[in-house]
Amino acid sequence: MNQIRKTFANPVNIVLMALAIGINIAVGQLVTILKLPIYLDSIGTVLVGALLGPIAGFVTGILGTVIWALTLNPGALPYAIVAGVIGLMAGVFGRRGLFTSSSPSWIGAIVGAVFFMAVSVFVLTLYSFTGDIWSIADKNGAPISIGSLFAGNQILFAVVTIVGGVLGFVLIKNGGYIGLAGIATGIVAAAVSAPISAYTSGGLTGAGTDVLVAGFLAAGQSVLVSTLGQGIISDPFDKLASFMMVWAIINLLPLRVRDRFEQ
Amino acid sequence: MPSRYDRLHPLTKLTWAVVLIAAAYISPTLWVSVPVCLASLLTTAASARRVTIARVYPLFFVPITVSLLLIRGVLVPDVLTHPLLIAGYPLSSDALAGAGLIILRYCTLVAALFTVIQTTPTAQLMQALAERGLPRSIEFILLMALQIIPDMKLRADAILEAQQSRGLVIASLPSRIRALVPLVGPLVVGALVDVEERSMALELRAFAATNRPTRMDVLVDSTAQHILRTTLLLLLVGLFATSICMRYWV
Repeated sequence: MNQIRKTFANPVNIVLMALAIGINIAVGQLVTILKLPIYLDSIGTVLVGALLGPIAGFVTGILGTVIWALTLNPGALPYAIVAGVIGLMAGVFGRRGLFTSSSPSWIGAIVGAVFFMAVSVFVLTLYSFTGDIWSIADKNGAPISIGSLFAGNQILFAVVTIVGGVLGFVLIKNGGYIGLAGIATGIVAAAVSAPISAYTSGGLTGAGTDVLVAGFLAAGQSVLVSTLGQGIISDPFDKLASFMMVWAIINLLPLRVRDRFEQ
Repeated sequence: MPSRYDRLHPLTKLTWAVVLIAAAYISPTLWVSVPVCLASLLTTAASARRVTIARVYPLFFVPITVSLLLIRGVLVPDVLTHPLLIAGYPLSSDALAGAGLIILRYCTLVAALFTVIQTTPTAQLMQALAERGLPRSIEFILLMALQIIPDMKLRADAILEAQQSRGLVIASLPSRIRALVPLVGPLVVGALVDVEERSMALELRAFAATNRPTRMDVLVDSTAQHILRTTLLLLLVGLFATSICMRYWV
């Protein structure tokens, strides 16, 4: 409790949180100009989490969404908790020192390969999902194991793993640890936002990602599972990019600037 | 000229919006959702800025409505129990009704909140919430962020122009990805450098003072509005209680 009081009594922290909300919106604007297929609208929240800790990250995420709702889209308000969780997780990873540590490049390659492999297993499993988490079946309803899923799609998995490994080696480079943290945050964010999206807008937003939801619905999944599937495919990429961007910026900061902040 | 709705206390407008949203999401049928959505649109109509507000609604409603009707109603209907033949193609009336219910709920959510936002200056909304116990630091963050956003957007534009004048090319996807770091980096580092100056300004304006600040504006409230708010809050509790009862006992 004292820690929370201390965080909110320091004007440096208050200003950084307000600036972070501005950064979220300004970076969102830059990404729109660049026409990139990601959002990056949580860079400010991740930055606060990394520099000031989990509580400040959580509050910045919530307040950032409130501002987003006040200025751009009121429909964003129910997702405040998702942004809060992203800030909270960034804070936890920041406290562990992940935003200031580098990894060997081969870890980046492993992270990329495992992530791409996991997403493809997830997508194939979701298309074969029966409703019971421990049981998947083929199109005729016959149960299949994860092993036979691999055996039936060897070439696909091999290609996906190689592509993921190369991309991880080239793009993640020395940020293997923080890349992993970003992917984990993306998966948690998808899990938290799926029920909100399913309940408030039927899992659809009117954006391009609705195609993924439609694909899973067409495969026979429920709205909740389809929304979760869409989130698990798209969110980790976005959070991976946000975390890596913040990691790069923090490592570029002079110590004199970095030392002003709590962690 | 502000209308009667516009002159209401911010908390009265906010409570009304929350009740409308709760009613829309708790209701399981179109019979309740349609009048609730109409009530939220009538609230917009009661404000002096109704034309400005209504002009923005298509931007909020059209994409999600098209998406829902197309995907949930036509392409992937949940059930096909009551086929509705349109040009020989069987559409599910049940699925369309389901999509309609979601659209009405979403419209109520956006219309109710957007009307409050557009008819209440944010400083007044924050003041009303602060008078009911919202911590001052939270009020500071929200108000400061609202002031900073236009400045940050201008700075983002200036950085883009500066980098383009130095030869930054934004054409293919790889070049756009490569452009991210030289654009986002200076924006974030510039903001971090600003922290010192802005926090000093905040301290000079008695941020750490323990006395409650004297407000420039006094929010007009009345006993009638107080009673209305209490009634609305009781209605809200009633709505939740009814919803729980319907779920577990009916």
